[in-house]
Amino acid sequence: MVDSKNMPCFHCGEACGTVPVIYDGKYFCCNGCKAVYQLLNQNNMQQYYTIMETPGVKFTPEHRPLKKSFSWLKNEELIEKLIDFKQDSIYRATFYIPAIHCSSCIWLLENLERLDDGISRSVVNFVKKEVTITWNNEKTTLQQIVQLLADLNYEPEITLEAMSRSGKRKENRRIIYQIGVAGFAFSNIMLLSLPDYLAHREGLELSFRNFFGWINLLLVLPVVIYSARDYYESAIGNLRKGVLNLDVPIAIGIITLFIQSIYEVSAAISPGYFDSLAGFVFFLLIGRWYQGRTYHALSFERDYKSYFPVAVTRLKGGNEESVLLKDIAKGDLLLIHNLELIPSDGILIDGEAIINYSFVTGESIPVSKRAGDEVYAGGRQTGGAIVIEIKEEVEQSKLTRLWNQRNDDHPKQGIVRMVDFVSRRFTLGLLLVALLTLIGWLLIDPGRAMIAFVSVLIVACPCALALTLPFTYGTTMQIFGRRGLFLRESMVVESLANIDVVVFDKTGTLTLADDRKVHWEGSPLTGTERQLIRSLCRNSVHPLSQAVTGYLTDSEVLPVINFRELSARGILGIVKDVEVRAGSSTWLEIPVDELINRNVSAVHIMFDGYYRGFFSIGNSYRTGLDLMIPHLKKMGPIHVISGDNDAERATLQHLLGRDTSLSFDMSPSDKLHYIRNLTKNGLKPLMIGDGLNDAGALKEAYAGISLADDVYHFSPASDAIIEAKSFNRLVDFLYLSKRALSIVRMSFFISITYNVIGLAFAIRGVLSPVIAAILMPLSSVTVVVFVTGMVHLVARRFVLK
Amino acid sequence: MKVIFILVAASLLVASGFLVAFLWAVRNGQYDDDYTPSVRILFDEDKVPENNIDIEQSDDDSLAESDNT
Repeated sequence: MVDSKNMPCFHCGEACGTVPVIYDGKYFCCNGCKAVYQLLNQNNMQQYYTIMETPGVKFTPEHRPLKKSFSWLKNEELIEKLIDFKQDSIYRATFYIPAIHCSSCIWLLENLERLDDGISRSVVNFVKKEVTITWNNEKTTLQQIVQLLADLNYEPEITLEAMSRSGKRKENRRIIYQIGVAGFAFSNIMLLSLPDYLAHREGLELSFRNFFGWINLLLVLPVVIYSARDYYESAIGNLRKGVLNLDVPIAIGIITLFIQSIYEVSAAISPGYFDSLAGFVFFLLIGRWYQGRTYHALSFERDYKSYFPVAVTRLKGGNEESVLLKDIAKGDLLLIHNLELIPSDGILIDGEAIINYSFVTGESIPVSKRAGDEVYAGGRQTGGAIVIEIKEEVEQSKLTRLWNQRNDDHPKQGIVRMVDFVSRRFTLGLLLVALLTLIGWLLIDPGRAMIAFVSVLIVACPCALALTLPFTYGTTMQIFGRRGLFLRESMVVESLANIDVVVFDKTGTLTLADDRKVHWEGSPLTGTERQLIRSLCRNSVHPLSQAVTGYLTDSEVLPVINFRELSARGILGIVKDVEVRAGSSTWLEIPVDELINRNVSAVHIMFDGYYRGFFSIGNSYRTGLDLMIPHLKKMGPIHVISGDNDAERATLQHLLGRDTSLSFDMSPSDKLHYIRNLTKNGLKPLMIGDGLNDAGALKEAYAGISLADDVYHFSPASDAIIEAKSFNRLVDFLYLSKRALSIVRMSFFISITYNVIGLAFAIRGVLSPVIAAILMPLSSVTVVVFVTGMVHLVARRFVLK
Repeated sequence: MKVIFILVAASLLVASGFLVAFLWAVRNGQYDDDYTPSVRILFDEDKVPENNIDIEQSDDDSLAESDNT
């Protein structure tokens, strides 16, 4: 027999374990994977497995639909919202599918019509992890399509938030049009300006100069009117608010250049500054586009809505019906299935509820509830279906109120960015120099006053200055992205550079949620005993049972009869005629041993009434944490705020040092206020958390990073998302951010030097179009090359080896 | 030297053609996804022995080419 233990699953590539599912001579790790293979095999679609090896995605308990019904997708109102387009019976909709990860995925999802002949066309956008499906609604339905995708384990994420996302696309295209127009004008104007520059001595023949001048004016018109238009709007908007940002001198520069050029061309003095103008706008727009690039497939704006189902099952007159979340009213009876979230506060009517509030509170152990008990929004039911009566509408639940409360307050402390500071000084300085020049020349030689004044405004256009930030932070953001830290926007780099206190959540952030340190305490277990325990524990979804099951992976699984799970006490069942119990010491009536460390949870084991020993289960901390601590402390003090109890206090104190302040039993709003207090004391906290319970704190913090094992899945709204496996690079990321800030300072110095050189010509009133045409692109290119080069150099040599 | 006026006009005409082509490509969605088409083109045509060879005309409102035969 083949050693199947390390055999990779033919579908997903995970190890098959001791009990593989064998089908068609191939090994699978679970029935889910086999089912997908079977489905593809029947439809002659084995090509899926030849493009990439083991392209599938493993079914995890969370995905495993347990024959999840998508009956709520029959709701007409919902269908209207989900689809992009509809004509007669032809529908089109775009689904966001986080599981898309390789070429095989693309192939499979673009060949869906072979599995459902109602589908006429499906097109994948790999970068956005989206698939656009067109179907004939008479042959198939939205529900069937989603069901098919879920069966293939490409379940789309259908959330209220995702539904309102499709509107964004148009806006992104506008800047590309603007760049296209500016680039076209720039290159052609440059070509037509060149003859005049080269013929500088003797001057170009007048007919040519006129002809080229007027054509250039024609070419530059769309640039001034269309491409640069956002700058005028921004400048006017900012002036109204009394803010002097960089867009003000930019807008002044563009308009002055334009008017002066028209004057010089019509008077046939010079070929005008049209090439500088078009190039200037072209470079600025490129900087803007570069800055605006984001990770399309990631969502940084998730709030409670994206955690909740779009629709829930309501019981009405004995019938089940699916209803949109927003239509739930007080007094409705809702049916909550296994692993579903409770959408609003209510009272448990029927069923045995074992509710995991880790989403909301960070507390990892589920609590059990009896009929009549209150249940709160955000809890996840584990076990059978339950019925609850809704007491509050969704918008009024405690969880939702926490969210709305934050929005009512001032959202975030006004962050004064370096660029705001510099641009205010710059703009004021520029206006001052321009005025002094004007007055000076009026006293000496009034005939040259106007040209000198205009020249100052032209030459001081802060092109290089405006390109510094997009390219420095944009490049830094790219480097981060390649190494597992994804920023919402490039400006976050500056926030990360300025933080002076680090606040961690504990559960799931410092500790690993799934991977726990398990030890057997007692005389060694025999092979049979291990089998008995594993067989029992694998039936329970309780984290402690899961930990024990994970610890005993090498044992074979035996059938269990009379399995029962007693909430907060333990589990029991009969395996191989032995009654096995696993649970708490109080339930099994074992005298609490003094030796048991308070830092760990214990699972006691009893066979047929005889006590056998216990598993001690401690949290395990993320690797690399201990190495990071001294570096983090150089940047500021460390705080830990946890929703859990203080069982781990001693361990944490030891790990993080005496000077770390630890707080336990913090509710989500406690966390938010903790951060707010730090901010009030003039600190700039960096918050790192992973759950919905940290969401308030993440938003409130100067910079918030949420940690996720899979960045495409749920993570709370924040400034950045870090991949769990890159957590140990956090210090490197912070260092690089600080370096990026010093690179920005150096680059500001360079660009201002260029401006001063230009001013030296301008003040004397001898600025000619040639000088402007050389100086402007030269300064822009220098700055861009300098900052991108420096960031890469620093990243490679000092920080991220 | 008068020919230069005609040449400039001609060159601008050609350049405008390229600008229009660029704007059309953006509008057509060709810049929305710069990865998937590079993979799609490498997929082998299937040897499915079915006779439903209806070459689908790509409709003008959406992305890229279709490769299902």
